[in-house]
Amino acid sequence: VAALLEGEEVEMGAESDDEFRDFMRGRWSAMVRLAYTLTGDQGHAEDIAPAAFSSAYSAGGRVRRAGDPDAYVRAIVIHENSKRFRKQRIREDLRAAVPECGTGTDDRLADRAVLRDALNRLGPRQRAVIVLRFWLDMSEAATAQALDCSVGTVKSQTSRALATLRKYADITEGELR
Amino acid sequence: MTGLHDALDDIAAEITPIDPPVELAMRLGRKRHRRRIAAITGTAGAMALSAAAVFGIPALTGPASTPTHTLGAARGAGIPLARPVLLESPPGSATEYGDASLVNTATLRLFQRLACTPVPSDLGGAVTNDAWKAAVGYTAAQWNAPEARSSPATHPASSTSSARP
Repeated sequence: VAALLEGEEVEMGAESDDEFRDFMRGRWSAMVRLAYTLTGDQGHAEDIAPAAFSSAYSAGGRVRRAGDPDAYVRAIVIHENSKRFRKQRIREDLRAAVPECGTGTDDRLADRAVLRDALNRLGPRQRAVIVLRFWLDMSEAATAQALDCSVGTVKSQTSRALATLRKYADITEGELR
Repeated sequence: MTGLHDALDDIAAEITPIDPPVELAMRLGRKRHRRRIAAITGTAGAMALSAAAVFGIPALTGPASTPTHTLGAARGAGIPLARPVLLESPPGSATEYGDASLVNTATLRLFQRLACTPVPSDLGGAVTNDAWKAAVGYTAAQWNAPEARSSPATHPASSTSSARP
């Protein structure tokens, strides 16, 4: 009741709706792509992203007060992904071959296929750590906060994830950045 | 292998997201919002808040400055509040502590019927309703004799296991 009365959930009106529409249109692609890198599945990504935006919409006042709506929705995407694994015990598919799509040179396609295969061998938390640390360039502390774990856990998960990537994708130290 | 960052960039660029389902997200958001309110205040609260929004009654959009403000604002928006009320009646006392007028009638009736106290009458308490003991044939000797309760065969209540106080 206290949270409700503090106005965290009840700021809904024509003006905030327009604001939300603009925000969602602007950030939709980025959030779907983030969800895709976290899940490796476009279908799951397109399930997670609307759920994240609807959560943000229902918490409009809190998002506004947080000052960085992008980070807020990104955190929800990460959380929704973790929740999906916790609740449904979904495991990533390990595929012998991956479909080739997109554009680029043959080498890059091959690299991407190898990396995707290696990423699919990671657990959801290790994969999330890799995406947040090496794709979104988040610090260890920010990653720990986003994943709701300790910095030590981020370090250990990163170390294990990189060991797996080195083993299956032949990534060297110089290629981490 | 290119850098990990670039490779993840490439993977992210593999998909072409569908058009953003803005209206769907907003509809889901409103539904989630109503569900949260209903969970906190009951369905009537959610309906009242929705109605307040439709009829232009100011919604609660800022932190309440005082408890009075909170209560007044909640009443204005038709939100029933959970009221913490301490109501107790110590053993041997007919006096109720707390403000009985804040307790709704049904709860007060239940409180008075149960005469809530953990002390049974045969151990010094004066207000417990011990009628259930007679109903199941439970005596004071058994109450103070744990070994008498260890054997279901000798337990008078075992034949009437469905009878509960």
